Amino acid sequence: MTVLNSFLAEKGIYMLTAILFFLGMYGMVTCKNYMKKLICMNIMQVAVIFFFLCFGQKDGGTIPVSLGDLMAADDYINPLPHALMLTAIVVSLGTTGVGLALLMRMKDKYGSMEEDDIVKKEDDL
Amino acid sequence: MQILLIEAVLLLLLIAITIAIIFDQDLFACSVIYCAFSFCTMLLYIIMGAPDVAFTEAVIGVVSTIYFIISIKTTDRWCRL
Amino acid sequence: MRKKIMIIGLVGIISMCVMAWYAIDLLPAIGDSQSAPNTHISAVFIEEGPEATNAPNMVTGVLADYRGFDTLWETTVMFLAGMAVSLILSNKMRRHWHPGDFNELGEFAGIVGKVVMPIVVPLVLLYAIYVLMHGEVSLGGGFQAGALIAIAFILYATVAGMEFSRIKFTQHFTACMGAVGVFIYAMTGVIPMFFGGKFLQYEKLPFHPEHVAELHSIGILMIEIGVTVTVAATILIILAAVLERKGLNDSIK
Repeated sequence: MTVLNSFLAEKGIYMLTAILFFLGMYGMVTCKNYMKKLICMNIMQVAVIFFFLCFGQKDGGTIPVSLGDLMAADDYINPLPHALMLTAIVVSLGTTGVGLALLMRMKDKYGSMEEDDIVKKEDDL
Repeated sequence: MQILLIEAVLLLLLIAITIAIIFDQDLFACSVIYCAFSFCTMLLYIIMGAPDVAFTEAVIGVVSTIYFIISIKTTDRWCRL
Repeated sequence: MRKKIMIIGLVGIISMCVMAWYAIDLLPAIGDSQSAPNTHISAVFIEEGPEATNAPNMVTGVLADYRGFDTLWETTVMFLAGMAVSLILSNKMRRHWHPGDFNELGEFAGIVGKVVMPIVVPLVLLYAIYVLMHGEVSLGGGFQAGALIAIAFILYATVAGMEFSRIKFTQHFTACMGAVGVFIYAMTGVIPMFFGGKFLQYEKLPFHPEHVAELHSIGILMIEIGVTVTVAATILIILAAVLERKGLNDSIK
């Protein structure tokens, strides 16, 4: 059990996060539909946020709300990555909104959301 | 410390959901699966001790799913693989 | 062609994963309390934060007090995203959307719309206000409260059918509300400058509570009200911009 735990702490979790990130990138590159590209972009963002939060974890630490009798730095999980990523998640919502608005303009102009159709219409013009 | 084991299982689940999103032709199904993705992420954040971030993710995941669904209503539902 | 792209992408991600396998050795192990991200400034945030900011929730303390200037521009980014969506989707033939777009089929009519929603929506709003007010004591804060208010409105408008025609959230109204939120935040920063402080220095706010430390709570509450208004308005402006455009076709010639 300890062997598995030390493997996960040193390599396993980071590796799974990297696989999630690269799968999102693969989806953005190979999917031809723009809405699916947006969903894959959100997935990539989740991988980055999770990677950031991994740095704040501590063995035996509790959540970063002060309890009064615990005052040492080792008793609490690091609150700095949480504060940074909280705003990142909210801004990602704004990114998604702007992306969907551009997508709807594209649908109006070209009549399709598929990359192949749009490239073909651009060539015809 | 079993927390890392639970995190690994949840990350495997997230990877499976990502593969399901990439190879799906129905965008409506993609959006609903994305909602499931964001709730799994929320569970992951709670387990690793970030309840504030988990709360935000829960609320924002629902709102982004609503955005995807209303834009699917005005554009196409099906896509070519 | 399609298969070629898939094979190239697969080879690409496998090679990147192999590279990541060797690069991960440089990172600290998860759970190590002596690693670089967990020592220098973070120890100060944890040990001195709850007393210095009078906020037991350290995340809110860091977000709204130590990094208040950062959060001001995050809020502005949200507001600008809402404005950008409104500009991208604007056209002359705009019409006001009505909730009948959602329940044309009558699927949501009946007991859910008439009975359940008037109970659920006030509870969600009450919870949003609780989250806002207890932002510095327990979990929550301005961002979550704003999104909860927007969700309450979305539930009411889409499922219950908005019968109060008075609270119609048009793009104009929501854009004004977003600007009001950013204004509240910025003015909270500017007011201490008239009383001998610096930008966002909460000790110099012109209130006189029993303890000076409570001024931090008042300042955090004020900027969280601003954040709440901006986030709720941004979510609603994107929703209104997408819905008001529905069914229109002004293709660019």
